[in-house]
Amino acid sequence: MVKLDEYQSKRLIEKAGFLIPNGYIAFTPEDVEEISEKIGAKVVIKAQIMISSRFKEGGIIFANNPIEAKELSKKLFYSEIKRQRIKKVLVEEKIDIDKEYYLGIIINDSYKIRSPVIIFSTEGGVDIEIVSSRNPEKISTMTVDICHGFKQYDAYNLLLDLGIPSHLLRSLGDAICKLYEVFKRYDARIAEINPLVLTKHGKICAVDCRITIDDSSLINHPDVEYDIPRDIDRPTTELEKIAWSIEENDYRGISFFNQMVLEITDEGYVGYHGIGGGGAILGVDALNRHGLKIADYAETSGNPPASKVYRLAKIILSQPGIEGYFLSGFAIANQEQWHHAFGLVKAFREDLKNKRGFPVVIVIAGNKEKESIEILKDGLKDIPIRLEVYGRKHVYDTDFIASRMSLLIEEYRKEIRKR
Amino acid sequence: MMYEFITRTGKIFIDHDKCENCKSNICVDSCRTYGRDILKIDNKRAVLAIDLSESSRLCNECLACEEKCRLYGQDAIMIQLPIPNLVSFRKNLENRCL
Repeated sequence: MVKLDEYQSKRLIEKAGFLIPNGYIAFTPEDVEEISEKIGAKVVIKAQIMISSRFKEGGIIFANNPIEAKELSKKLFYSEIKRQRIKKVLVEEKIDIDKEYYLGIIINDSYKIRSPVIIFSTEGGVDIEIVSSRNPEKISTMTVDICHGFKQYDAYNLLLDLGIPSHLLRSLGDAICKLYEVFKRYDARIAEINPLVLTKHGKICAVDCRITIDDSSLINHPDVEYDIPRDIDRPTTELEKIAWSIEENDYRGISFFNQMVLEITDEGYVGYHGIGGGGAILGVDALNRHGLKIADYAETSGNPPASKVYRLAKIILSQPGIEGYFLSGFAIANQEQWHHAFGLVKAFREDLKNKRGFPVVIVIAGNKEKESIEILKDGLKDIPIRLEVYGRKHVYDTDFIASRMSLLIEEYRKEIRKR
Repeated sequence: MMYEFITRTGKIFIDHDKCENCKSNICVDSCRTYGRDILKIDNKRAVLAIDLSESSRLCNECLACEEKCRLYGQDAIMIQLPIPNLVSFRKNLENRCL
């Protein structure tokens, strides 16, 4: 899933007819000053980072004039909130608020439902989870029957449940229907306006907005800007962008790479490469139980070519500080596993030939398993690494495999200390 | 003489001078087993058995020819699979460490 920044989400709902505060994106304090002058009113400066509670964390500041805006924004730029560096801010006119509401649409994945659910609350501007626990009576929800669609009267019913005054029914009902249209048009998984405000002038305005789009549908939405179509709650790292570049135009199988730790400063991190999602998670759990952590979560499956496996392995090995490489194929795969074997052999021969004693544990099971194990063992026999390759006999034995990884890392550390 | 052809995402180089001493023809066998059977021996040299313009479509980048030639042939095949920006990423890391 792709999480859009606030300003990107607002562009989408503006096209659908939503009123949004007059504002522009800024990359420097000078930009902030210029935009504030252009707006000609009190402004709000909002860090464009993907965290909740931005205001509480100091990511939203108010300024009365352009000079103040410039000065205050200097504190924001290149500071970090929850480990996210602020590189751009949204400068918007400050809205005079009369009342705040919450409006959200999510996909309920439950097999019993599998439909969008519309959520409206008379308490906006705070996390909906908090409202839900403290004042559930202030929330109204409606599951959309996708065959029937979502109609204006459905929106009115949702609002009437909360006792919204009749003079606001039309404007708030319109807002719900418009957001539903955006949600549908952009194949969103989540669309949220919090707060949706009633201004002192009686208008409905979307002050903050977040949209998350299903990454499989991005090909249909060339107007949506994104770095990489991955569900990541922080800016994309350089390695993740490189990993995406090998996947972007190559439909053969899949490769996925997510950096779990941006900078390794501690011992016990392993370069992690799974084959198949569910089985791979078993491997992560087992490593954790043995005191090891994963530096990344990477995966190749769906019968990828050896070239894709090779490239992903090189990316995993590019993380400084990892103490081992773990190919976690805890599943009997029906793809020909020798493509994994050839890809890994080429990558390890290139990158590990000078890494004496580096631990590599491989679990590979399924179609052409015997041949794959032979390819790995033959291809790497002259590379001075600590290599252990396991097949289907150990495919359910995650603890044993993790204990081997742990032991090899321990030996490797001792060897390095001796050198 | 270096013979070369492109694959979908890379390039394969075959050193024909080395091929001349090869008795195994392992590249052809491995392409048949792991790949798409697109190599043949012509005058003691490994060449494409298909039209050159078809190589990027038909080669499945199994990498077997390179590895098997290294182990059982004359180490005459080299496959280049560039990864955009990875080299500069690694260089930057090295510089930071220094």
